[in-house]
Amino acid sequence: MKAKVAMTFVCALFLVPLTSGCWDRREINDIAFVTAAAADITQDNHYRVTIQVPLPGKISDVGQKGGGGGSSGNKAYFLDSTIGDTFRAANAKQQNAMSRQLYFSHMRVFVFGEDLARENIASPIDVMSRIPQNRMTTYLLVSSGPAADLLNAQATMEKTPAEFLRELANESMIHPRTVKRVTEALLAEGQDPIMPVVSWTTTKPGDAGDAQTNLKLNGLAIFQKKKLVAMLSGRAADGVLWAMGEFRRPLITIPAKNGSGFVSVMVTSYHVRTTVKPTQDGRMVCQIQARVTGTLSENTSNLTYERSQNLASLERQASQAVTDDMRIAVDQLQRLHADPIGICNRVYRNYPGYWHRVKHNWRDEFYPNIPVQIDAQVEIRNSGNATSPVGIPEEELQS
Amino acid sequence: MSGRVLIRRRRRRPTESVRGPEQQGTELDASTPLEIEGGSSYAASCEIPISDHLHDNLTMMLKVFSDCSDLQVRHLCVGHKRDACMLYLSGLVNPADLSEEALRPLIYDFQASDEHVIDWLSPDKIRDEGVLLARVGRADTFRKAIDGIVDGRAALFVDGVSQAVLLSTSGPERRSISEPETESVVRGPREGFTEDLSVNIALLRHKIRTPQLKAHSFTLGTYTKTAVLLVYIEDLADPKVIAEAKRRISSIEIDGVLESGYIEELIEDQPMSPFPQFQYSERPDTIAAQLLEGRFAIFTEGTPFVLIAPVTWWQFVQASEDYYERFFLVYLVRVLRYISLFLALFLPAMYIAVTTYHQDMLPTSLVMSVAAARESIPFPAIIEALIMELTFEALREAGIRLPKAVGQAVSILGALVIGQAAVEAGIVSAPMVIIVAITGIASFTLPRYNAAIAIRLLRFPMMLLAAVLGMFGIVIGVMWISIHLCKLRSFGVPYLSGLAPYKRKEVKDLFFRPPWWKMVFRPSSFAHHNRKRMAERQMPGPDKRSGSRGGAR
Repeated sequence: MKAKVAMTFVCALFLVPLTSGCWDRREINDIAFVTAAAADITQDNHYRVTIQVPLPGKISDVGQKGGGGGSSGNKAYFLDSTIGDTFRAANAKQQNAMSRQLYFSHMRVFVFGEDLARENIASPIDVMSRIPQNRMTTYLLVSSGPAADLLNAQATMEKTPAEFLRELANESMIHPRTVKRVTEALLAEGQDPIMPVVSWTTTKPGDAGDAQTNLKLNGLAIFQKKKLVAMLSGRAADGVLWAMGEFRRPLITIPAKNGSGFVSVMVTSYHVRTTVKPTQDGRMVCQIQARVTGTLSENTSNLTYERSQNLASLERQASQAVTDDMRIAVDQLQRLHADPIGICNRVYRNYPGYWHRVKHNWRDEFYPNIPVQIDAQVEIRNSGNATSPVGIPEEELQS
Repeated sequence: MSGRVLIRRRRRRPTESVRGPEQQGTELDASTPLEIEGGSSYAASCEIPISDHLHDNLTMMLKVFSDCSDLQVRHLCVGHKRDACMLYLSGLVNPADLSEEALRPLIYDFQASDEHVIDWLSPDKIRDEGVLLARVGRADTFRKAIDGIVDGRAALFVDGVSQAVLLSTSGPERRSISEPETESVVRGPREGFTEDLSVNIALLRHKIRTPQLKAHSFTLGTYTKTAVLLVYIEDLADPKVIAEAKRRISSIEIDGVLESGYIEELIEDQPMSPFPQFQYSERPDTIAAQLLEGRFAIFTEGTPFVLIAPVTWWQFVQASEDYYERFFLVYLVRVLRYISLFLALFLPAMYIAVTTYHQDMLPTSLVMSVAAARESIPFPAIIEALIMELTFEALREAGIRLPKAVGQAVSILGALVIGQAAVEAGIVSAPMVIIVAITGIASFTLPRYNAAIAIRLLRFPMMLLAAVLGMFGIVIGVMWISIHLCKLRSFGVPYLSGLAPYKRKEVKDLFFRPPWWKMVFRPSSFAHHNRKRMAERQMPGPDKRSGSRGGAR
């Protein structure tokens, strides 16, 4: 009897591979790994979805030796762009023209075209959170101009533009904007999302070389919830990053006294505190305090910064520069009625009762009128290994 | 139809076994030329007493040993008076001993002190005055005399004496004590057991010098009559376990026992388990250590491998050297072994599962290199893995069996064929070669070969499960193995004892070895009483009173 049961069990085991059919089985070489996707909107309100699929045979030296075969062509990646009513519809169309199954788990970057971002970023994000293959850690970027173009840049530094974009996104902020962070910002009260902007450039080394298309970070995309309202760049963008405490490896460059050159301060660490508190007369005041520590990294003036008043004045100048950056940024943001810093979110969290009184029209009435006090203190711990300009004789130095 | 036949056969079996070894012997011996009344002479001789006629005795013995060309018959005259005859098997006794210590005194020196006493040539007399050998026995039946001769003794039949004197000499030369090849150590004793049981037990007695070291003797095998010893320390081993072991060993009925593996398979708790329920060792120090923890050992004549039980799984991940080296190193090594254990069992399965089901589990750059390597491979991952694993197993098997000189050729062939040619030909991907290599190395780090075999076997079902169900399959496999291990018992001791059932004090010796001064108690799974093995608080250090230099002036 026991033997019979055992035999039945063994027979059943043998059936498992046949009946279950390994329904999810897909070999790694039957998969098209999408590493970057871009979304644009067409004139007639359809989505144009562009995906980048690296060709494994091209991208890695492994497996080149034997057997040959695999992917062919010049580029290390395959780019496909289709139009559809929804993302999935566009993807389905792409799938029809593919020998391998599209696979989104390894999508590291998603780029919104400028037009689409001005329209609505919420619906593409819906796809990302709905399909389990997509990851919440995918970096989000906004392109200035059509997003599809970004995926076609040469970006020779990496093997594919996708990788290049991923590294750019990773460098853009201390906490790069991922699907998770943007979704959080979209859902939070009194908070707007923000994303880095990437644009095309051409680099041309001198007159001789061929021009190459490249990609660069170019400021910040400011949103009002799901709609892009402006792209900031330059000092305003820096100021936003300062105020958010998201500035990655900031460098403060300021003119030296007497207009004789410039001084760069490399920031080694900094801390930004944003607080809100109600005043006596029932208004809300915001205070942004930045404590910055840095070292002197370059000095093109003839001033020496060793044990002298110059260092103190340099600290003052640098503090002023950071304060100015933030001031420009906050003024701009208040004018744009967008709050990526989350000032209103802090009101909501700390003074919920107050927030409920003002929240019905916070974006247009409450937020633009909050007085923001900005205070930055730069401390220069180390005046650099070469305190005085190296190339200038000692007697010409001003202390 | 076959069911009925099966049942009938099964019913008949008990009656067969009732007949016992002698009658089975008659069946098998039917072809021997000389028969006495339908049975073999040996079986018939069994309880016939030895007569006092030398001639009759000799005839009987020669009949039994007919066609045994190595039987030596030496006629002699005891004390110049009485005819006698000495029988022995030529290779089993030491002829020099025999002639110097027995023949010479018997022929020349043995005097009939008082001829009026009728019993002047009794076996006792011969033993007391006739021979100079240490071990002298006697036999009153032919059976005993014959057994003595096959056991390597010389039987002396004297005319007029109805008993045979059995003389033991030092025996023939066996393999000398050498370093055990299967368990070599960097630090630790270098002697290993040999094929000689008496040498083996002596080696153990050298380590444990107490009469409490018991060696209960069994003789197994109708034909081989293999001596088997159940060895334990009286105060430490669980009496119930010892009783059970005795019961199991004495219930063995078999024609021959040539290696301890026969006994192992006949007395283990769960014969259908891939996991070993006995540890074996050819190191006296390992056996001594196990006995000191309250286990028992089974010594078998003719093999250097001694069985140890009851065992837990953890023993198979420990080497004897773990207890000789300083504990810091052992900590690292044990962690390494557990990692290796995991890799040896799961790595190929994980690779298959990840590459065919869960590509999202790998970092993008890694998935790209794997994809690139697999680009031109014609087989699915499971087939590829099976090809590689089977080739590797074949190479390993070939390497073990081949003579050493040829073995090198195998490794070169293996390295070239698998390592390079298969990858270059695009039949197998490079990552798979790496996976198989890591798996192989990991399985070699397990110090016990029989445990490594279990892991090696289970790797294949794990790979199939991974190929069919991905990670879920692996999880199912892990659950199956864990349930099986939790269920397994070795002589009543849970196989995962220490962890399941959890014993706080023992867990520390499972995953890393505490320093000796911390291991005050024996594992409670084996030694139930008398558990303390050393004094507490023995952590060494300089004497605080004599200053910081600890006495050294």
